Amino acid sequence: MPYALEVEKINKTYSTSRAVNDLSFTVPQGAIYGLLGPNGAGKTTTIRMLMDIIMPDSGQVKLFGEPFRRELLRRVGYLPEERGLYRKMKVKDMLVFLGLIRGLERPESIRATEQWMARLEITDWSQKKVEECSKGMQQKVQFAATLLHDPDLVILDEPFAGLDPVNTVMLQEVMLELERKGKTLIFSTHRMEQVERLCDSICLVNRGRAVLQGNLREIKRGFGTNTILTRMEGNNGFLATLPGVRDVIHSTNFTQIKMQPGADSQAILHEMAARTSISHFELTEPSLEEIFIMAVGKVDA
Amino acid sequence: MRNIINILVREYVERVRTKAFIILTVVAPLFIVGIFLGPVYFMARSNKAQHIAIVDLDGRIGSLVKERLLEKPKIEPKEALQKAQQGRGRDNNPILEDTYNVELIPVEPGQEAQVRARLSERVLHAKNDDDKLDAYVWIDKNTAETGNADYYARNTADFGNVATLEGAISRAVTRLRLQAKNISPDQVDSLLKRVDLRTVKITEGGEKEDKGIAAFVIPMFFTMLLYMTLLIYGATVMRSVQEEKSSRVFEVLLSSVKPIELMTGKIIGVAAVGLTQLAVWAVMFGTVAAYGLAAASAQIGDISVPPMLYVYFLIYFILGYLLFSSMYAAVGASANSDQEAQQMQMVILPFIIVPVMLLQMIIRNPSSPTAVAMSLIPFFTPLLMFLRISVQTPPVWQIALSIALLAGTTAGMIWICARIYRVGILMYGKRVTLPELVRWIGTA
Repeated sequence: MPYALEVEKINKTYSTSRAVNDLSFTVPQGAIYGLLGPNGAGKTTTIRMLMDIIMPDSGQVKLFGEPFRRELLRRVGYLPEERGLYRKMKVKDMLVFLGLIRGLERPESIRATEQWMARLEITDWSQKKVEECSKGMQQKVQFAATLLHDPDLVILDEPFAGLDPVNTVMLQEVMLELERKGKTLIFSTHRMEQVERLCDSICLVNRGRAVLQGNLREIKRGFGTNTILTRMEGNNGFLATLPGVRDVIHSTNFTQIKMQPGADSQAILHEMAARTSISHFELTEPSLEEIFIMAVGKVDA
Repeated sequence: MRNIINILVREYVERVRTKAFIILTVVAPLFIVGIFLGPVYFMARSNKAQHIAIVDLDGRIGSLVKERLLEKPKIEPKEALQKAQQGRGRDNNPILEDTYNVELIPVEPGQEAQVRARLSERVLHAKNDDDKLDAYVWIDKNTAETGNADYYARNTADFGNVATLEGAISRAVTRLRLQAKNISPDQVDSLLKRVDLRTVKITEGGEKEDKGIAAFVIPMFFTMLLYMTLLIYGATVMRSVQEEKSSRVFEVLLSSVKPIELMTGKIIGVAAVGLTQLAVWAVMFGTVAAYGLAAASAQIGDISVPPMLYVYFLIYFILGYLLFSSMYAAVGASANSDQEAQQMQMVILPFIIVPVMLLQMIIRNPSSPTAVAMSLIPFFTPLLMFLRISVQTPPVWQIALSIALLAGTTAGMIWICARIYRVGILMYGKRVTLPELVRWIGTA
């Protein structure tokens, strides 16, 4: 499978800390790739190295199968974590300018600006100054700016931070549309439900190292089906005492039972059925959130 | 190149559109003209009569002083104005003649203290305007011998007034002394006749009678204009870079644009704004000079500007601007906030302010060794060499040398600052130290 991005053993050390440590990962073309990790894991540093904003101390980056060249960045769209817009400029002028900078001719840039403003429903704001826009609105402007030049690879650093649910869904839809058009998307986040919804593959980074990476489905399968989701009548205090149960988490509608490795789910089901009436019983993979906490916790321990 | 142009155009268009630009463009020239012409105008207008009382215990001096003060100036006002601007008026009065309303106060022997108290009271708390005294002069019995008299006033800083009175009293005393030596009043008058120096400026184009303060106003006007534009546009570059850094715009731009392109585009864009402003000012100045200033021109003298001066202005503006704006860009990129940038620019300010402090010295003696040396220091060259050129054209080799040194320094400074800029614009967090800056310059 061709790769849109290959990262080989990149390193970055700041005076006090090693921000990125021998990090390697590959992003298949046409995938939505999640770069996960707790705060300060090195996600933004990694992305900045991909964008040639900071130089890696060592290691190699390949874009579209070729060794890194600045010109290849013309095919990349980048949404930085911080909102970088000229505050005094009008939204439309700002976007047209960024289109020019990205190599579009003026008429093309104007056309692309108008298209994306319409798609992201910010046309009404085109004559407003950036500083007059809300944070979420600025976020959408910036998102449009990332896509103006129709990049093949889109790198989004925390794209949903500060967005309301409606706009989050709108952005997710746009991302899925881009995937259908064959574009490759990489985004960093620590919101697991977004990853589960969007990503084909992930790389989980902690303390500058990749602790887990690959196809999301396979990763989850690797952790096995060790969780029972159940709903039942009456007192469920007995669950924790059953053999093979590691932990019980009660929530309003569901009870989650974590099994010890190698425990027999059918035996637990029988025990439960003997004591109460069960309306729901489901064997599931661990949620990504649990995997995240397990993987990060293991390294920290 | 394409990127530089895009950045330059954006910088230019966004700045020229701002209210600040429009206001500055219109208001600044009025301000400058005000600074230079205001005092002249007010001096010419504020001929309010000074109300002075003279107490003469000698008995002869007071009436002579009064006569002298009330004498109509023998010279025409225009001529008086010129003399005033050259630092000389009647009896070396450095400002324009005042008109006087003089009262001679008789004093009975033994009443001195009461008279003095009453006069002081009139100075401080006059009942009405007619009663109000601006000052009074106390002439002693032995003033003619000692040459001492006292001046009492609320405002003793009115040097012009003091000098006029001093002149009048001196003249009266001199007259008495001469008369005491049996010299006839006619002879006294001819002995006291003063000498007027006519000032003639020697230029390459031949001799030309210097008409008033234009010789001073034009160089100062252009030098201050140069100073202001260097300062304003340097700081503009700094703030603009700082804004790009703190708003993280550069991060969006940097994936498509090289740091050096960003810096170059910005510096040229702001320069274009500056030149636009100067062009507007030139047109305004030209118009005002042609109409509004016609009257003032008659008074302050020839305000025509030699065309070469514009050329030098452009040369020193462009080189000086590139020198300082690249330094300002480096400061803007190194600082983490606007406040930090404001503090860090203190490193640059001396290079701009020191020459301003030297202006007076240089305008007085533009070809002294100090003036030559100072004007060849590249950081001072834009202001000082330009001032020297506008006051008294220095030898060609000095001009050429100054331009060569300045251009070389500017090129080196741009190289250094581009390096600081490139590293600095990506550094966040703690304040940068000098050793770090040096290390940044070293990074390839």
